[in-house]
Amino acid sequence: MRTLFAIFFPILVMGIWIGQQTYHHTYGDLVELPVKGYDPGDLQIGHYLKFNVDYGKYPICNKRSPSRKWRMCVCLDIVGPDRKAIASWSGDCAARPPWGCGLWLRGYCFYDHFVANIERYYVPEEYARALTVIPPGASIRARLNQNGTGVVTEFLVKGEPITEFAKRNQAAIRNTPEREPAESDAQDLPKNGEVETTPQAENPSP
Amino acid sequence: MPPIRQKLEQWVEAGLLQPEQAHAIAEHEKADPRKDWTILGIAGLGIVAFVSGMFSLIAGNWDTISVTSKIVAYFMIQLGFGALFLSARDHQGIAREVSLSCFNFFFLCGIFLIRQIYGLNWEPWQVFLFWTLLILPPTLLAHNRHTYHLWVSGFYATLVSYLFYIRVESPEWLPATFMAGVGVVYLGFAVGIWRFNMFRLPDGLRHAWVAWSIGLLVFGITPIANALWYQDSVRGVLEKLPSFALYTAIPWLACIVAVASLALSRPRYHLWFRNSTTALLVLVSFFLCTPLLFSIGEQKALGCLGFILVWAAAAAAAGFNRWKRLFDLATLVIAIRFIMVYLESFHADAKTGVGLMLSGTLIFSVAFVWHRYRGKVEAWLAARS
Repeated sequence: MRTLFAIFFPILVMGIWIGQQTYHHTYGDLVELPVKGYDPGDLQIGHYLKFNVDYGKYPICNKRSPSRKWRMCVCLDIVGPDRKAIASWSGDCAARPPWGCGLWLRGYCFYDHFVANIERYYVPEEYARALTVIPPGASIRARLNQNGTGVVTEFLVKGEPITEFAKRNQAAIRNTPEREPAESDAQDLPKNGEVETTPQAENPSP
Repeated sequence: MPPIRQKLEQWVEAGLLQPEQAHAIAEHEKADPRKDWTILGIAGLGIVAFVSGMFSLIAGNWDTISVTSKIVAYFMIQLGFGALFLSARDHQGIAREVSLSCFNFFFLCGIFLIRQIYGLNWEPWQVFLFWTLLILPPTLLAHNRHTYHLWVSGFYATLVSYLFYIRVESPEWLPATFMAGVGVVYLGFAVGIWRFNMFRLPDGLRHAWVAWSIGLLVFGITPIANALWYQDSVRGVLEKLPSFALYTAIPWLACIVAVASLALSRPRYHLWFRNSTTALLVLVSFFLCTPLLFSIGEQKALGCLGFILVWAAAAAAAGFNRWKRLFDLATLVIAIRFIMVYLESFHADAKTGVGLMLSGTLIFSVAFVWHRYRGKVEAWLAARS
């Protein structure tokens, strides 16, 4: 009996945990958040695309803090015709407003930059060449649960999944005839109409 | 010629074995199919090649495999190892232990799989914590010490990765959290040394707790504490963070629990082992907390003395308990520390010709004393126990 418990109990716990994650991934509150560029040299680490989320103009991390990294919660509002989420309140998680804050994210401020652990997305490595910068008009779809934790479910470029975008872009790169290096990238990529250099990240230096 | 044959011949030549006994041992080793490492090696190579091929096949088609298939495959493998263990649970041997180790290891694979599928950004300490809690019940069924060591190392990996996480999160809280971490190491020792019949843990797990706790105290905490005695900056810790004084009480309280556990265990540990281990535990606490609690300034000599005393206590405990390797290591560390003291004190003169000659003489003398007399000290300690 003891042996059976020792073997099946962890499997049961694992099953519950996986079920909970699957439920959260499938039925959490869906929001769309615009994204912006990161340090291009650090864009794709292994299979992950790294980026920053654009929470709008609300100054999330401008409050004074004794440390360079401190916990923070952000309330989100859905605005505009494209139904993008932007920050409407930020502060200590315990002081979160009891109403008007149904959609919220838990994270931390790193200097003046809010991190909610949703700033990466799995992309197959074969598309690395086609994704050297975050394309303009990029956004993520994330599911948020009641604890303020988010899970990225999709990365979109102007409403299109990033893998589709990368496939087309890769095909365009492959079909482009070889030219002198000085002319190649700078002239070819904008012709595809998709990839442009994004503004540099507001990545603070310590 | 197999190594065992060579050894047997050497032993026969040295008069330790009769030729008939050597022949009988050689025949026994030859007759035992479980010891045929050549066959096991070839079979192992085949298994490694098969598993590598399987992994490369899966990795090559990873993106085309659906999420459901990945999760179902994971559960099939996990349940498969569980079933393998259950079928072998009443037997003693490698199949039972290997299936249990694979069963434990695949939980870690599962956590990483779900982390990748659903893009979870778990910190390393969260992964280690979840894994160690998950595999605790199956670990208690193990009959080999490696599984217990793996579990305790996973526990301490959680602790250390949490300290690193806290350091990034809030540097001010690192000292306090570090002190709480030291307390956990002491409590780990108390758990391992506890020998009452009620709530008794498997011996393998207890030994792993003791080994890892002593290891962390002497290899991890002692060098940090020694560095604190050299640091002028630690004098301001209490002024910066008044509640820190409270946190320095944590190692002391945990140390008291550890000493009480050592003293009250039934059957009792022998007196000399108990005394030397108590000295080790108290010295580490004293050595760590003193420069933080009192503005004593830079005290290289006291720091060095404390370091040597801690390692001397470790060597004594090892000698009384016949832990030969730890005894050798502890005495070697003390010898190296003596040489460092000389170099720290006379580093300017050490560059001259005479200084180099003196350094060489000292190093030679220390090495000679260590080589010549440590066996005698060890034998004396063992005789006392």
